[in-house]
Amino acid sequence: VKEVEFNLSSLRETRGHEYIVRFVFGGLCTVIAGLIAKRFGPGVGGLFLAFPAIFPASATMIESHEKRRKAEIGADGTERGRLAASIDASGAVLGCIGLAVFALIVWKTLPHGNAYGVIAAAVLGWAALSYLLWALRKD
Amino acid sequence: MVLGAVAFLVYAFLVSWLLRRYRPAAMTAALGAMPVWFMVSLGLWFWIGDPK
Repeated sequence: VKEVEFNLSSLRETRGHEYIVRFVFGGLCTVIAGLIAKRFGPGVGGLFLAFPAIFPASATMIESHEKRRKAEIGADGTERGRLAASIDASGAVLGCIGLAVFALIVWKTLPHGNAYGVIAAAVLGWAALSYLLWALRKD
Repeated sequence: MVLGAVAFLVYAFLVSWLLRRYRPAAMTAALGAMPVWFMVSLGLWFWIGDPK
């Protein structure tokens, strides 16, 4: 079993406006998905729930954090920043497989079950599969 | 959402590849590849249809 590590110090590296950008983009996209669902139906709306709303902001912030870290020791962190953003995108690939399974569980079981139970099961499915894929990739 | 997630997978894979292969700025790669998400998700939508 591989351990997932949390580096809480990275929370301090993230500036207030960076959190705001993520929340605003994420929230905005959820609202837009809702409006699209109202106008064109829930199927198309669901499509936009998987829109990469906060990914560009996250990748850019990871790149800039790496650059900043390197700049502190007087080095150019451009290459390292882009590599870190690339690794972030690779992680997103694995997360997308988990996301697809989350959506599949909700799609197939929600009509027959309790919404809270279904969502909880789907979240567990997403977490378990994402962890498994991450652990396999790490080997 | 399943189709959107598949499109996101293709998009994220492309961004990762672009960043490793051509080393553009992360924002350039992330925004430049955005049309791919639209093409794949809407393409799958029209190809497969509304999943009931």
